[in-house]
Amino acid sequence: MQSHILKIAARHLLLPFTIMSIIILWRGHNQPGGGFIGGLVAASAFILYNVAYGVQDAKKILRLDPRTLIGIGLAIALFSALLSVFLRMPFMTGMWVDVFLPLLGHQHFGTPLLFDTGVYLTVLGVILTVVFTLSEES
Amino acid sequence: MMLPLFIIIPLIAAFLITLIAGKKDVWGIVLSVVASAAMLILAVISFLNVNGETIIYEMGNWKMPFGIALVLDSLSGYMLIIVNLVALTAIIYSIQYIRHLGQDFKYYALFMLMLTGMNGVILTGDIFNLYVFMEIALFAAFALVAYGCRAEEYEAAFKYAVMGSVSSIFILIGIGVLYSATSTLTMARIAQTVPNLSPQIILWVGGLFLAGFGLKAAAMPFHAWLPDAHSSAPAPISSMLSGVLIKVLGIYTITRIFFNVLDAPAVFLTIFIVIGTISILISGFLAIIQWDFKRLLAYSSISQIGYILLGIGLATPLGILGAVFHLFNHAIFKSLLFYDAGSVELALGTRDLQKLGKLGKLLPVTSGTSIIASLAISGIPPFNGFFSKLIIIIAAIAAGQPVLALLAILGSILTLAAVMKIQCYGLRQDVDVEPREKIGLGMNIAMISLAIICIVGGLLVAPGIREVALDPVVNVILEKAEYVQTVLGR
Repeated sequence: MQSHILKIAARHLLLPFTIMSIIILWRGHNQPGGGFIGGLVAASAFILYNVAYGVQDAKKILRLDPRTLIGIGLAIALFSALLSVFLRMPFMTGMWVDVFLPLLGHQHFGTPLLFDTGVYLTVLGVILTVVFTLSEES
Repeated sequence: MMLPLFIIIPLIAAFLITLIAGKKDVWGIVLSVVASAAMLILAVISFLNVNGETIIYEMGNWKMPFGIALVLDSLSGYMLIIVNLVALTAIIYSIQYIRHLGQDFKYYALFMLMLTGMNGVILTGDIFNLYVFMEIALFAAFALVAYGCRAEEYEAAFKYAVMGSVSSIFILIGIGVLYSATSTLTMARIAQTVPNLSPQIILWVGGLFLAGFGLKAAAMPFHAWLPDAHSSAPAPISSMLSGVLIKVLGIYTITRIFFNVLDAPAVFLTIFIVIGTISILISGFLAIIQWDFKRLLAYSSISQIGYILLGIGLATPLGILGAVFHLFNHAIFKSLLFYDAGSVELALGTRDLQKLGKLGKLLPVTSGTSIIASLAISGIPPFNGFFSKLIIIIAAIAAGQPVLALLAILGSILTLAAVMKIQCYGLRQDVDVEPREKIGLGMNIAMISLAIICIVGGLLVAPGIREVALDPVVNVILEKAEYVQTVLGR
């Protein structure tokens, strides 16, 4: 099936979806959202692209092997949990810093955000691994 | 600081293996051997350190009734030693065994994940956390059962996955009901509120947990998945599943939840006794009629689980002592028997007992250790199995249940008949056979070390050692108030 509408929509929706997913990830800790949902939204952009252009092009636009994403995501999550151990606090203790950023003002950064980023990448990797494998076989 | 290491070490090992061992399998072997050896040492150290006390580790610095804590008492320390001991020998055994299946690094990564799950189940003090770790261990186990990629293995893994998911649903609903009744997920806190709950809720929750954990332990009416899964998996995985996985996910959780949390309701203790006795007898008979080496062992696992459940159901100090001791012994000799079956399969390419032959000269270590394990599992003195079965039988008589004692003795005779079938038909038949592959040093080391433990394991009940090794474990199971107080009361 070749649909121009779908192709153009998929190409133009890729960026908004990704930005939206990062916003969802960002607001996650105290409001609805978070790494898991953000990862799903980001994955849905690539799935749409996959439907419109096929597996090969979708893989090309992702650049990384989705399995590498899983590894990176898990490593980030593990690192965020281990960080407190190096500072002599119990495993997985949440740690926070206040940072002043030029446009965003005072922001409250912490290891939970880092952990969520790991979850985001892992979910993205897992979903895309499944989807790419299935659409390659069919 | 020691407690989270039991979860961190295998988890990091699993990630590192997948990341760096993609090209060279040697790294997978090195990392997993180092990780499991380190955990065995840590487990022994922490068991000796605990010495009847309880150590709490609050994850993420969240204080106790709200956060998730890791709890190490004598029972968890004891289980950790069993798990990591069998895991270390299984890894050493796998080095040669798994080579012909290909893509080793995935195997080691999954193995480490399974270990993470089991250590987590043992250590956690939070009932939902227990469920999560249980799923980690189970999913790794599904994949490992199907590792050989043959049709029968896929079928077994599928069956296992379906039954495992059904049991998980039971457990999840049970946890949900318990949470709605007590508003907490910390096990010690639940135990504190249980006396105020209506007996109906306890009955429902207990029934759900019994079905769920009973399925995981594969006691008799819930056993349908076990013979397939345990006989189709690669031999070291069979030994992990039969030796420790069903005990950690089934027996340990049952004792922890029914004794320490739900305060041992009498009706469930009776059910344990009934299920245990049925398992001992029926799977004893079913084991005898098998001709597949590993399938026979799988059925005999169900029967040995029956002994443990019988001891737990008696709920006397002597019965519990027999049960925890038999748990250790069964992990050792059943793993050893699966290693023997694996090396026979590797050497001859079949595990059909009718096609095996004179193996005494061909595989001296395998046939020697298999005699030791067979005598130990059927309860012949002076091997370790004799003492634990004797204690369970004495406990049954002391509790005024001579019929149960008689049935347990009958079950022991059935086990003897089953393992003698292996010895007569399998290893000492008068047929000459040609070996396909030599059994290497690693596999022999794994078998010999477990055989030595079979011989000296009986010493654990000797006066002097028993007070250090087994009595604190029995105390933890029987003293519910102490568990609540040590976990919460500070």
